[in-house]
Amino acid sequence: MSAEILGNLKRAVIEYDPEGAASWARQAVEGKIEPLKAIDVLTDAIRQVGDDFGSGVLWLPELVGAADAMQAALPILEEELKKTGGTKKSLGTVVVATVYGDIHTIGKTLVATLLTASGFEVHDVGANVAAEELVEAVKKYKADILAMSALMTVTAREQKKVVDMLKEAGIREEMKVMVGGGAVTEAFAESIGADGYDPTAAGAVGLAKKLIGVE
Amino acid sequence: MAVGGHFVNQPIEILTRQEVKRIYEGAIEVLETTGATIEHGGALEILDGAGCSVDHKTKRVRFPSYLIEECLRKCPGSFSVRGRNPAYDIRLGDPRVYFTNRTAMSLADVDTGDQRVQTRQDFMDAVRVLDALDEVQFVFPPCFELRDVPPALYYNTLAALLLRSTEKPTWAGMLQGSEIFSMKMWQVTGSRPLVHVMVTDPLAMAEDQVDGLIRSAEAGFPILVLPGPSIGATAPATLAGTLVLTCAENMIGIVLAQIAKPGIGVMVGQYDHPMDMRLGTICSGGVERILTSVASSHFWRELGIPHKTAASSDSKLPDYQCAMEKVMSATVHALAGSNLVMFIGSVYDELTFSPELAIIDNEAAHMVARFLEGIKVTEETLAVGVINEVGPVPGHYLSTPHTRKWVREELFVPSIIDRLAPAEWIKTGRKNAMQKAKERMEEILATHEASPLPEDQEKAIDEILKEARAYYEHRDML
Repeated sequence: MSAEILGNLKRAVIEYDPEGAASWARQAVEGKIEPLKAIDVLTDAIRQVGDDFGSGVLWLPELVGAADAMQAALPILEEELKKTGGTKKSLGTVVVATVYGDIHTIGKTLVATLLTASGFEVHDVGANVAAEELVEAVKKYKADILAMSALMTVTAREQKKVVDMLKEAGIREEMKVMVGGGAVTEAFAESIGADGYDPTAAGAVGLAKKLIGVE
Repeated sequence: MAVGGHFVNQPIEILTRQEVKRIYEGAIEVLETTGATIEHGGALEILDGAGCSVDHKTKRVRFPSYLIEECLRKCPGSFSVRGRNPAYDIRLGDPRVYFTNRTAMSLADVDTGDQRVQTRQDFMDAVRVLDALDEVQFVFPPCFELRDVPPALYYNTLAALLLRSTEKPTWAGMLQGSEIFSMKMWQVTGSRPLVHVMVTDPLAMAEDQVDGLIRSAEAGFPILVLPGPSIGATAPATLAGTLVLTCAENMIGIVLAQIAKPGIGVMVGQYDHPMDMRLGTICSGGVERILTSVASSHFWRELGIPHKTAASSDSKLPDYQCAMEKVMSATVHALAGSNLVMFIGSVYDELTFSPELAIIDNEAAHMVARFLEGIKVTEETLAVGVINEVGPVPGHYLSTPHTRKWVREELFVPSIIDRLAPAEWIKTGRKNAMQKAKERMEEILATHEASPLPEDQEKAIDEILKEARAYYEHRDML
């Protein structure tokens, strides 16, 4: 029974089916399957899709579809995990956002998806996010990395403000800041006091791993 | 009096009229059913008053078809833009085709492909090159980023530097209120640039863009609406769907502009990029973009609204790929009657620009322009009499008066393209097009300069820049 539920949960992710994934996650909870075990199945599924994406068999629409399915199931299992007092493993926790003054979302959404598929715990807090909210999110999720996106460098001031506020809050040293976006350059990253930058979503994964020392 | 421009008599079309109509109906249906998010309280009030259905909480606006159609009708079929010298005015709209330069974040090192943030001097030099190129009749800022200038002051600094370095009509961007100050500079110099409004895809407009659109239109400055989605990511994966979306997005800009100032000139842009679904990067040289650009020109020509397209490449170097993607696209865009074909000088899409490459592209534009001129068929050009006169071999045409009369008119003579005999080419240093362009650039920088701004205008612009600095300083944005 539990093997069947977990098998279906995995299949829902690799078949890009959010409703199915959520439904099988609920059945896993009802069937008293250990939430960590079910989360491992999700991680396994998204990794498989991520690997196929990496080798070019699958493309972004499939990867994003699978990540959406995973995200539909994950909160259900996480809630159960919280009740049982367990903690899940991840490479690290990343808060992802597009900064205040910019309402573009696709870049950070891709980064969030690719990081999730690579085993990070990702909290995508949206676009046009004020510095205060970003710092709050970093605290709330105890993020190892804050990944900020902006289409253009005119938001540089805003990104620097976030970095300064992290310093004021006394948490800048405990975590890493990475930036990305079409116009971001190494000089830009340096000027706002970020730890790293990458102009592409795919490059962001390697950067995140490097920043927290898992690669 | 508008100068220059090329004419296309029979624009190429790839859609039937019926298909254009279906895209139109699709766009209207999207705007009626889903509408757009307009992040601007004042605009929501105005749109509410104009008959839109507005949800003030979610900032969602749904547009009735009668309002869209009324606003489309209010757009002039053509309008003129002006630099600081009226002698360079151009009239944007059918059936004219103009070429213009691309704009990018920074300069390209043409030998390595590296990006370099420009200084003010680099910027003015690049604009001087564009000012000297005869096929560039409208000047976009070649690059956005300026070393040692805070980002909040980019747009106003660019506006000032453009006015100083060229007399041709220019572009103007708006970010976070920059138009408040740029507009004063245009008023001081008597120029009327094209004010660029960004749409965020899908179906949204940011507060500063709406603010700037309304402010500029009210002051009588023509508007360029420019949605820029990635096909498959921020637009549907199908080209027809992308056209429905971008046409709807352009209509949002048109409605806002025509409500702000009925009859104001609006140019719409087609600026979609396919996304490379293996990499997540955008493909600016993708062939699909040529298809949507041609279709878009057809669509807006039917509505009588000026339309612009852009062509670029994904190569990091000004190499074969760069030439292939860019010139192939630009040629087709021109043949399809795009009123403003933006391609000159761009290396890697929106990221790098090269004035050297602009010199080469200017020559490509000449070739496309020659193609647009077509074949003149008259009694005299058919040359039946001359052919009869010369007769079979050993007759030839080199010495006939007909040849002397027509050869200069019919043949385009390049200045960058190499046509030397191999031995001569070796003797003169085996130069390629880029080497020749570099030499030409040095020559331009040594000899060409736009006439200086009158002293009072120069002073006024300095004052306006100071005001802008104080404004952003006060808002803690520098």
